[in-house]
Amino acid sequence: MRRLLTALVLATSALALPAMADTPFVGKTGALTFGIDSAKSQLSFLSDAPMEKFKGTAEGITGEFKIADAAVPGGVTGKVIVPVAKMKTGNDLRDAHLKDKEWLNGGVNPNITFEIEKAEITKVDGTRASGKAHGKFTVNGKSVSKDMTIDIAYAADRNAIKVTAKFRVSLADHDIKGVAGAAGSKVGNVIEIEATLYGTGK
Amino acid sequence: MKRSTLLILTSLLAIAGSLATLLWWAASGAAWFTLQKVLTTQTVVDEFGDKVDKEIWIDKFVPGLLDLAGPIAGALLVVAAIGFWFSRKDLKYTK
Repeated sequence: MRRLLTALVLATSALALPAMADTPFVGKTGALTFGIDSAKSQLSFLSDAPMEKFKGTAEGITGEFKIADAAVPGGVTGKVIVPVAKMKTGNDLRDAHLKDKEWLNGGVNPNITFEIEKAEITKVDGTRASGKAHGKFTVNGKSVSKDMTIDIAYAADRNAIKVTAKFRVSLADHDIKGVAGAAGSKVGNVIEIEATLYGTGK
Repeated sequence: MKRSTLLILTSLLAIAGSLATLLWWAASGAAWFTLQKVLTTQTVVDEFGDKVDKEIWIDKFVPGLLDLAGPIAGALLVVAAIGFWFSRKDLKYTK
């Protein structure tokens, strides 16, 4: 009987452990909302074309992450907004061209957005998690469905979150043709993006 | 000083200027297009205890080959070529 009880206790613990470790939001229950801290967050993009390789940044990132249930981090939704006007490449003329109608068309589409629909969390280690975020990525007014690799870190004491993401954007997916001869020679057809977003609990 | 000598000196100076321009471009970072700002990376430890590369723009002028150094070097070479051409003509008439 004692053996049976021990086995039952062990089995119950073994079942409970993964459930406890399925979320980085340790010690939290219910819904969580994090507002993106614009001052701390940063996004960089890399264009690697035969004629030129350049790196740029985007500032003034806003938005929020909503987690309906702290125990289910995959249920994250939210929106990340990147203003085209605050994108820089180090060359004033190129910065101005970037906002032209042939490229990001900042006058008509002032923001690049990512609307998060869900996440697939594949690994949880304490207050850290990693996986893929799925959502609608919009550039130049054209939306495409996109998956991006994400890493999440949570600070329970401050109720703060950090989300890092890496992904690639194809200009053709967003109907960005560029000026004749520039796309693919001076500007890469595919842009690599890295983002580090800091959020504070609301 | 004879006109032909002056022209040859001017041409040699223009060639030197052209080479100096290209050296200045190469030493400044050999960028294709002129930059007014340069992105620098500072590794810092953030509030989550992670090492993060913080990217900061600093004001720095980097001449570009296609929009600055190249045209200057090219124009100086044209000046040198014209100088040599006229000096040759002057020498021919003197003979």
